[in-house]
Amino acid sequence: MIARGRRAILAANAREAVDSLRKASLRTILALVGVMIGISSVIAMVSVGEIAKEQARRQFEDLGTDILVIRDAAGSNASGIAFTDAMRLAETVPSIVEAAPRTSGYGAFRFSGRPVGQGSIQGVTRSFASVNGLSLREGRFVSDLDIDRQYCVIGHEVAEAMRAVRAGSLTGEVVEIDESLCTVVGVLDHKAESYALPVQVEANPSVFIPITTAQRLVQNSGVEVVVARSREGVHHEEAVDDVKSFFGGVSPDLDLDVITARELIAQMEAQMETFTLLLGAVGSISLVVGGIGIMNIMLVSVAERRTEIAIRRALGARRRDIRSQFLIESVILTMTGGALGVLLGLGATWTVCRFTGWAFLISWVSVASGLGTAAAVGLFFGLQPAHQASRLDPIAGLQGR
Amino acid sequence: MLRLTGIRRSFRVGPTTAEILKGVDLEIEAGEMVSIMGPSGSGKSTLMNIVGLLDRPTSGACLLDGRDVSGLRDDALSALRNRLIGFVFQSFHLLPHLTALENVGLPMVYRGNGRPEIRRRAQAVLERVGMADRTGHRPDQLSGGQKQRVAIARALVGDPALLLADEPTGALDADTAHDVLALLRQLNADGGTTMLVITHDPAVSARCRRQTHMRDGRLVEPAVVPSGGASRRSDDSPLPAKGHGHPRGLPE
Repeated sequence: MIARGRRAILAANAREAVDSLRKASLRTILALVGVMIGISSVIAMVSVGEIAKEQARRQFEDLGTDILVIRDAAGSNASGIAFTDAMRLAETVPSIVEAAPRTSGYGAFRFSGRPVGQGSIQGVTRSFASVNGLSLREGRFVSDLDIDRQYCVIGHEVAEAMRAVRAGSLTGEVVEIDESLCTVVGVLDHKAESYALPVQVEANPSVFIPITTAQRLVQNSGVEVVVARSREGVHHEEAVDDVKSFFGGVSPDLDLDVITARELIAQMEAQMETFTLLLGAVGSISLVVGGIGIMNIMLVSVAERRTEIAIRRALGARRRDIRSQFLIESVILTMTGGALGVLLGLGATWTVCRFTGWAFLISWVSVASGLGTAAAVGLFFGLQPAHQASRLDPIAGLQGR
Repeated sequence: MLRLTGIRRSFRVGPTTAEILKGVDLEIEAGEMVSIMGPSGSGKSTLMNIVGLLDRPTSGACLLDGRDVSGLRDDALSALRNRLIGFVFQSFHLLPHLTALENVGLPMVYRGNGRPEIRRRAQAVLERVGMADRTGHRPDQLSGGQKQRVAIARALVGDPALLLADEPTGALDADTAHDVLALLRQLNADGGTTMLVITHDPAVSARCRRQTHMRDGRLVEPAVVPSGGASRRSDDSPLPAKGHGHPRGLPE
């Protein structure tokens, strides 16, 4: 009975608070904006963080986290990695399963006398496709038996351009690569480029030829990079040490640069953490500022409504009824700001996703935490004004003092 | 119904204390309509605040509805105020953003009643004061006399033991003042509501059934009671018998 009565009083307070919010002054709306910005940055922070993590997880799931990228630290043009050493890597070092060296040049492609684009000419081995997750639309990939053969596998964009010249199957056609004729043995599927990966493959506008052929046809065709995969269960640092000691044995002067996918993930996570901290700091500061704004509005409201408070007290409102009235008002105020902030934050997240090409998803954790934070801000910053309202002297208020 | 004995109230003014009430004795029976007349500064508002449970006396005893209210905590006083006292103020003191119906229902809100019950009772009491056709109006859409009728309805909605009217006609023109006083007299006569009217106006005081004077912190009652039912029997009013006799308004 008593609890029901208390609930009825709280419900009446809430109804009045919503009512007074609808007639809110500009000043109230401005205070609300403060909370809105605070909450929206909290939402954006949590959402973008979660989406980026999810994105990274997906990318590495495609390729596996066991990738090592081996480069000459002096730069790819003066690469000291010998092709024969790179080829022996997988069979000599037990912790490495596959090693795919690559040479890389640039040239124009022609088909039936018509230009069909220009792009990189990548000299690769059979393992390159599996290590980098390339899949074939037709034909086959470069094989280890294609030594010195004028065969090529073409990327999606090049294939599209060739189909525009002549429709139909492309395997068996002859394409002119920098004035050398190569027979198409395979066509790649479209490959989404992910910049988080250790090696940029840029498969779509490229042509892949056997690495031995590339050494003959393309200038500057030292081994630019070796993409290797470590054996399952081997710690990535152990694999790095093995690779370094192998190359240290065969070419002691070589300054080797080995990056692992795990290091990249760690780097990315560190970046995310900085990003999250930054947004968190901005969010917290604006929440505090917003909360102070709310407190200010509530204090003004208490001062303006001294007579109203006194009337309510005379009619039988207890101190806690007045306190709950003003607390509910401030919580409803900040929750409204919070709800708008959630929308703004999700909008910001969506924009970030659009520009980064990440998949947008609504993080319900962030929505809940945003609204929860808003309510907490309302409670915290509303406490003092509400307390002040409840302590007003009804006699003074009734006399307009 | 109400018994004040030796009520004193003093206020601190800087280093000195000013005694506003210097021992007030007053007894009001259920169903009476009593006026307290006095010039401003005589202490009548201070007395009203004490009777209305908004203030505590420095010393003296105050028995309201058979209950000693001195020494009660603030929450208990609020609950008693809600159940036993109905206020009518000079400047109406309606909440401007609420309709007449919502204003009248406000005391019931703090009693914890549900909305349908509140609306029903507010509607009924607005009908009693002749404002049934103005329930949805806000105070700024009402005339002074209408506002005071709404305020009277608000004071009556909780079926109080005592209606306290502080200069109820002070902000009204003569004709409207007459009507409002007539309404109060009628509510007293028909409904048996006990009333204490505080005024500086002899004309208002004269229309109450029993008059007292406040002078310099003391209450004096003229020996001669004018005709007009000051000795009303309390048993001819139905309300005290069924409602005011048993203990109610107990603090939660």
